[in-house]
Amino acid sequence: MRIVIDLQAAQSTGSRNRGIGRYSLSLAQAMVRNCGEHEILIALNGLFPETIASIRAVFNDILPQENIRVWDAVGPVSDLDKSNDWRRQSSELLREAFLAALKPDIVHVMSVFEGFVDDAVTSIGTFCNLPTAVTLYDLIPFIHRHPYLDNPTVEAWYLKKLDHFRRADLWLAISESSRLEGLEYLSLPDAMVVNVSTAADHHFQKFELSEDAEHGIRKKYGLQHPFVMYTGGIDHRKNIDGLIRAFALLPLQIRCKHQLAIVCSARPEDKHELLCLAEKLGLSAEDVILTGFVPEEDLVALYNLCKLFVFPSWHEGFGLPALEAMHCGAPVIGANTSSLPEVIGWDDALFDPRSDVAIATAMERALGDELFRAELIRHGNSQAKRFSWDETARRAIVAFERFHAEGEVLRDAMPPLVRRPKLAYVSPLPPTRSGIADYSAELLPELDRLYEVELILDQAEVSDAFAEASWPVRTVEWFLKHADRYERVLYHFGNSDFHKHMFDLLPVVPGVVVLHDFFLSGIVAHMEVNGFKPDAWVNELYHSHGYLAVQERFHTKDTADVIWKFPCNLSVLQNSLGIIVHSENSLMLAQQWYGAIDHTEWPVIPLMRQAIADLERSKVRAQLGFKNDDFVVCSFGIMGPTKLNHRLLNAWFSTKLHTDAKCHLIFVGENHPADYGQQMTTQICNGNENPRIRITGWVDMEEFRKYLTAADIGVQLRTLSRGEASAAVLDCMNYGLATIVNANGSMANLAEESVWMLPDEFSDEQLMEALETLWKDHARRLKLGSVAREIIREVHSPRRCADLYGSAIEHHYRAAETGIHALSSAIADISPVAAKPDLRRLAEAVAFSMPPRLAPRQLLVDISKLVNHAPQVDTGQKIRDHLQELLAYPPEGFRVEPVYATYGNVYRYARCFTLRLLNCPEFALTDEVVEFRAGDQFLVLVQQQAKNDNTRDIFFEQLRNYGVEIQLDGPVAVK
Amino acid sequence: MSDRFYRAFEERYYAPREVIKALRRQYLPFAQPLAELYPGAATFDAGCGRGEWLELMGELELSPSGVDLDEGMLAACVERGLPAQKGDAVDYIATLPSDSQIIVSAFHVVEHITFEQLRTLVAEALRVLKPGGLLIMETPNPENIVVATRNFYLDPTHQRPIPSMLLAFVAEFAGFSRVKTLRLQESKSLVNRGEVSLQDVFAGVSPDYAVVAQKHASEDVLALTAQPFSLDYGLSLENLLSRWDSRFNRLETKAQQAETASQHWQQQAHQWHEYILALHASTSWKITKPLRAIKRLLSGDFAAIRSLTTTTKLKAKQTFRSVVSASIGFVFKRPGLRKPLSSTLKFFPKVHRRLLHVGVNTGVVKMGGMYVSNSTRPVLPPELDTMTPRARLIYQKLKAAIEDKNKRSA
Repeated sequence: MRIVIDLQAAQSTGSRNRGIGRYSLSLAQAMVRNCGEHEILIALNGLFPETIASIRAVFNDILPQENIRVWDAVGPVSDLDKSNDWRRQSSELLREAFLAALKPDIVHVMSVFEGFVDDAVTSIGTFCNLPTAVTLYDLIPFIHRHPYLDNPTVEAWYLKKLDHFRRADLWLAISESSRLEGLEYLSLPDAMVVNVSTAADHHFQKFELSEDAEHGIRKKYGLQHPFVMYTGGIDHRKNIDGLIRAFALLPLQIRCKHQLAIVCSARPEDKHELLCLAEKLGLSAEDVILTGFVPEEDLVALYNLCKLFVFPSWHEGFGLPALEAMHCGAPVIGANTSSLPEVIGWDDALFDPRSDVAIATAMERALGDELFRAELIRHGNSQAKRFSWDETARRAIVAFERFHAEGEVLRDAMPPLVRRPKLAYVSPLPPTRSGIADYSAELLPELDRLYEVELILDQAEVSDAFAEASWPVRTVEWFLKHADRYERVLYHFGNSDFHKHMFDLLPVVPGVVVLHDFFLSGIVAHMEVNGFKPDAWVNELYHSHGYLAVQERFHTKDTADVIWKFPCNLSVLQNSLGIIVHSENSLMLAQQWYGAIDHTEWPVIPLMRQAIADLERSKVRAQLGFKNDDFVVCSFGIMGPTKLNHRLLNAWFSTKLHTDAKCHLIFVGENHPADYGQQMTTQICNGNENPRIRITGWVDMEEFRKYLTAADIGVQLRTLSRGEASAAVLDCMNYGLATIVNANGSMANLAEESVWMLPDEFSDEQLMEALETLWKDHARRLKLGSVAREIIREVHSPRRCADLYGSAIEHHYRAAETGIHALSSAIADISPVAAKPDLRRLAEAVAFSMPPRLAPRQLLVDISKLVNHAPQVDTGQKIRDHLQELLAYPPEGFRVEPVYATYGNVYRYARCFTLRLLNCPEFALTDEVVEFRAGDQFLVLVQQQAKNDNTRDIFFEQLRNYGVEIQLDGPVAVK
Repeated sequence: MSDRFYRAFEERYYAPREVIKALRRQYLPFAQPLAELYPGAATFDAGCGRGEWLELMGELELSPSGVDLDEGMLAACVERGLPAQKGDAVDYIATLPSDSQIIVSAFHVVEHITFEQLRTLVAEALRVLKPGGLLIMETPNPENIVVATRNFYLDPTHQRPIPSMLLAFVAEFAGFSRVKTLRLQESKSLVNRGEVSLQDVFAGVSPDYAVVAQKHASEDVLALTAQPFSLDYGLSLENLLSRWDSRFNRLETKAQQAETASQHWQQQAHQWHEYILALHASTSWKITKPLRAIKRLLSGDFAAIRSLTTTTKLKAKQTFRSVVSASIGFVFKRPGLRKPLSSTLKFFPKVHRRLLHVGVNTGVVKMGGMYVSNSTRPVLPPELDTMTPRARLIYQKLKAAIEDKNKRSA
């Protein structure tokens, strides 16, 4: 389970120094300590930059820094100022989109009631529905609208927040009393409101003060006598008036031996009012002490020194001071209302706070009856132990687990589509001679069950079958104009010329991408070399693979090797709404090139094979010139070195099949156009004049099927495959052939009992053995064939595959509902409209808060000095050497990116400089502004002179806040 | 208006004394004959300012007097011993005896006073002038559009611009027998320039004008000043407008001629294009020839390959070289061919090396592959230039979404 904690309560100026802020921070720490298997992410608001470093520090030893995620917004956003409306609303949307992108199983908003006067942004269900838990502190303002909501502005804000609060799925109450308030006043569902309680921080504990220390404290606050203590806010529900009146009611012989210490910061007018009241009651300034604000350590000392702690509040969410006092060994008495009975936990220590006499009576007993006082202390000690942060955190996590488990059943079942969504199908189609065109021709009739399909084509004509079908055909231009008509877009990307129009279309009209070939380098290079899209290849090499790939592109003798080596597909992966692949092999490649991937985001849909209507085998054999007892071995597909046709031929010559007049070896497909083909023909002729070994040349579908029907064995070998699924193997299996394959690329993933699987690197003997065994063993051939056929029927049936498409497309589109595109249109719906600079800043905040998928971690090397100034020769050379070394040997898991500062600490990628350094054409890339991402490292190779370094420090501070690690003393730091 | 302000204002915008004096000389053709007719006679200058006109009158050995309200200005007169005193011109002229003056002048006065005061001034001038005496009133010319719309109001004490027709009519109506309007202070080069610009039309009309009115006198007296009264002075708005219109008409004619010519050449170009297409079709065989040559080479024409790897006669070699380099160039532009060809060539390393060598030497192949960076990079406005490319895309997306929404709601 991934738990995301929204910890703005520890950031907002309204809460961070108060109970809620401290509660949130303590609970979050405890949750991290007690999370067990679960993953915890902490979400922070970038509009409180001054708080981020200290919060990061708090979690330093217990949580990896990358688990602290910062999102940005455009401030100011406080609710009080109506001119903030657009910024506040857009920030709410952005925050929710950011949270959704973290794919949380639950979001825990530590405090919903934030952002009235500061820049905290809390909303629930404004942009999207995320499983959300909120902390329920109390509903005091709602229950006592007077006086808390007397101000209509405050009232409107509170009620609005309360609506958000109700939209949560799970409520974590800080006490049973506040839990019951939630049920009573908001009718929250009983099972979903959980009392997780609260705890006091560790430093509230009993300790012996030295005589000097005690004397110091007593002198500082004027507490010469034993004293009765209260601490907490000054608020009418806190009932301090009642306390003073009760103190005045104490019998004189007790009262004159004690002082009343009211420990809290108080505004002068409050202070004055309380002192007037005391005076009226005949109490002197010595009898009632108002300490004003006291530092934390003094507070602990006072708890330890007081003779009695009284907490007479009418209404509390929890009543933390009572617990803190018990931790410090103070005897505690308190009100018998709201949460205090469960905090104090003993009826004898409770009183009716509305009755001054009752308070006075309880105080008199606690101060006069030593036995009772001792009992209070003893009870307090044991009661305090019942509360701990670990316990509270465990309760919260158990609540999350239970909630998550209940939701699981619902989440995993895909709801059936209510109607067929309109889908734009972007793919080449027959008569285009491409495997993907044929594939689409097969998929479309099945996909039509689920979607109302329209075809987006970049080709002049379609085969009759499609013209006749009822799918409207649209041009790319038309599609661009009417893209908003479609609810779904499905792109088929392959490594050939027929897909080049899709590269510019995808970013504009995003959709789900079926990646037929993992390597798109062929077409991308082709687009550049042919001038279709200038610099397309250089840019994509750089974007996908960095400088090393660009360097190879310019320095490797044969650019074809570079095409072969680098997939060049990252832009397509990032621009898509989601990816579909045909084999596990593509997942492996993705992992290999771009690091860990989330497998749930890469659904694998096997290639389809239509169940075939059996042709009459003997008739077909006769047509092809085979007798019934002939043994026919076929290898299907276009011939070439990577198909290892020569290995099959060599093995054939060494087996007895070669000398048996009934055995035939047929290569069904076009011969290799160049030398390899020549060699094959020569070898066949030289070895045997016998026409029992043949190359058919290109055959149409009908002829192809005949051979599949006529064959006894299929042999499909591959080497150096790029992971693409082999269609011919599936054809063999579909026709029930016993098929020999080697474990290369995606063929390695075939079920073992369905084919004769040779190792990837097999020997001639192994292939010979396979041929001869299957030749002799008819039963074995039959068994392999029928298993293969069964698997095709089950796994590769077009119906099943189309269903898989349905769930994959819907899965991706569900995720896209919280993506940047959806966010943009939600932001557009905000009224009033944004000021232009705000819109720009928002775009920047979105770009930062929602980083692109699969983006590499960057090692940003600051070479401002090299780019902006000419350093001394030896220094410059040292940096260059070091930089070149970094570029050539990037640290594991990092992309090395030299960068330089321009005016106002705007950093740019030093692409032109680096290309020149690497001896490549320097203007092949542009020096764009650096995109800083959490997890990046920023390495300063040369320290700038300490001039105007203030702005630089602030900038670095901001980078650190964003999760960029800064290494100021690079290996080549120069003094 | 505080004195300090007006003084400062004048310091900035008033021309130097010498310049003013030179401008005033323009009236001498009117003044001189009268000075000769009435030697030593009195003249009166209303609003005499720094006394430039008084000085000129003295030079004609007349007896000038002047009044002005501005003490700062008068100080300049006092320095030079000129007969000026502080006073209101309209009040002052009423104290002068009838038939006592030969010239009453008011340079840049009438725009400062009310229309009633103007009429009084003109009527009093007629009274105090001797027969044949002259009233000169100079004022900004509202016919000049820049003056009328802007420069006139630079002086905050100005009342309202007075069109020359009005001022001339006031003099006529008062009973002056001869009234002349003089346009003044225009750029002399503009007067003779052929082409006028729109700027000239707006700002080039004489920025000032004067009305010179003469009191009734006998024919022989009037004849003395007949010549200056008969001339035309300065640039009028009509003059410049008609010059602009005729220039515009010329341009229009030229444009029509150019359009006709371009149609002609377009037709010509189209014919040539057709011709080239025909030519292209017929030479396609020639263009693809090198490709076929190398294909033959590579598909086992071993004789040709041997000729590559062994030394033959130089001439044969050179011929081969040009064919091969063209072929390589062709192949490099077609990566679809390139990969199969280059992988085939690897079976013949010697040929490969040799071909590569030819390619590099003839400049068709660059080591490390062909690369032509021909992308044009758009120049971004500064506020977008400091955004990351991704932030820019998101910004555009946001803007588009907002525009879209506005369009829908409109």
